[in-house]
Amino acid sequence: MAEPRSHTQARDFWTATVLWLGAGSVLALLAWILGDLLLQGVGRLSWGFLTEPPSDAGRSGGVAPMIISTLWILAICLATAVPLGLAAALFLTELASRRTGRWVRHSLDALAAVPSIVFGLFGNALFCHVLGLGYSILSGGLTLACMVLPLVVRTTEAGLSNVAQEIRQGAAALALSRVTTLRTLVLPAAAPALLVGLVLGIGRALAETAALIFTSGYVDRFPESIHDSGRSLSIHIYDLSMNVPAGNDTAYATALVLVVLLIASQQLATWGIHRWIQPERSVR
Amino acid sequence: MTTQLSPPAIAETQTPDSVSTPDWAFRATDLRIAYEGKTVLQDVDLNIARRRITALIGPSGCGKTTFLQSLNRLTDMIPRCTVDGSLLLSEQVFKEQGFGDLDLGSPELDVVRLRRRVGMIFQRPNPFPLSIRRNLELPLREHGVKDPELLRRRIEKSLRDVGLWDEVADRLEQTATALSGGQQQRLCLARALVLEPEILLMDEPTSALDPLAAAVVEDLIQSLRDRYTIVIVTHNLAQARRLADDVAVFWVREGTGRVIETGTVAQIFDRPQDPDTEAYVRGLRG
Repeated sequence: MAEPRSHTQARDFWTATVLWLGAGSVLALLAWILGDLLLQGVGRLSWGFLTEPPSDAGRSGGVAPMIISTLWILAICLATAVPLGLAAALFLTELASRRTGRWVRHSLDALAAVPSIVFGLFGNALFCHVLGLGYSILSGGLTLACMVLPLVVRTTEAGLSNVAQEIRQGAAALALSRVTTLRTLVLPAAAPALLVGLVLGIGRALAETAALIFTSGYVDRFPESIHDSGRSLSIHIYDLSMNVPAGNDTAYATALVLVVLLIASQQLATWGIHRWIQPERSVR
Repeated sequence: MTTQLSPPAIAETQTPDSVSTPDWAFRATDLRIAYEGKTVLQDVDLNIARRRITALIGPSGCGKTTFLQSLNRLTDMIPRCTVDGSLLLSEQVFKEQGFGDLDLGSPELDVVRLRRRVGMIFQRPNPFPLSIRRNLELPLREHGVKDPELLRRRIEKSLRDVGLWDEVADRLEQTATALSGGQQQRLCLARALVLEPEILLMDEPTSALDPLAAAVVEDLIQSLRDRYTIVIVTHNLAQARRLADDVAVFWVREGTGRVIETGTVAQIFDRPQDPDTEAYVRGLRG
């Protein structure tokens, strides 16, 4: 029996309202954060802020060494996590038996749930001490790679296994090799998921503070190599707002730089993956 | 009991059991296929004649598609699928002779050699998400055709063979997934033909198409008659009657699929021996 029309309409109206409210508050929150950063941080921004080292414990001067350190840490993290993650995801979808696959997936999920401070302690023990890398950008980047890895593997794997079985069957029926099938058909189809994993990984790596304090350290000089200690932007923000009186303005300005860097590197990743994964052009 | 599918000229004058034709493409003996230990098809004794169209008919879930997939070892892709018994591919279908019949049950089987001679068309058109040209170029390049001029000629020929050339000649670089369903299916047929196989396996190739597109694809299959060995699964009895030379009827008995009757299209549709076959072809059962 149909409900009275007015009742149905009222319910539709309220459902729509709730959904709009939900979406609206997410947008409002984002706008608030960005607006707050802009308002409080933009006054401190200048060309010098981006190109000079800090002085007076960060109250004046710029954040140039932190930008360099952050980019190095991110580069090492991605250069390790992306190939490893892709290989692990391919192993899970193409090779692993059901039992092995389940075991690896459980481990990855457990790894993803480990708090970052624990990764910091682990990275400190393994990379800084056991492997003798000390407090360095290399230690920090590798620790972040361990942290980001489960994220990259799981999103990439989801993308790979979503590639239509019909495509795989079609390729097999034409006796295409596994390598050709993967390279030409499966990877391009899984590219969007790969990208999501990469973007999430970049976000997590750039935002990380706790794991880096124990591994890359917080020396605020220009790093001379990846074996030097280097302070990331996120640690700089933490230090300015917690340990430096009257450091708040600079903390806001640094946060603004970090957000811009985040958006820029995610855009770069999007562009890069589309370039890389495009199927090669046909021969005329 | 082993029944033979035989040419009509002989079959019209003799009973099928006494006919033995040497010109077969596939020969299944006591074939059994199981998924995860559960038998889905058993006691299959079936010869599939060369350069004829063999229709596999019967209700859903009686193992027709599974049997079809065992013919090019696509069953390898199904986890824990086992194929027992004997399944041979005649050496006559190969260009180079003298290697003997191919044992499709052998774990050392060279599936590349097999699948280059045995093409397949699926129920839902499955063009690759690449350009029309790349869809055809990919298998050719994979199997060693690199010369640009030769590639161009073979691509054009296979597109002409499926009547698609005039429709797509000016947009070969466009993505194949933008074609209509019927065009996609013809492209898939072209993609199978481009490797110059001798055998084509078709799994309900027209059932996902609208009636007009289905008619075009069916005419196309007609045009391949005599040049190729075609094994087609279909639920469309009228189509089986129009297309097939030989028919094998699959049916579920005692919980597993079996082949209950084989013969020429005239024998199966006009003088069926098995009561289930009779009811099925008259539209009373199945």
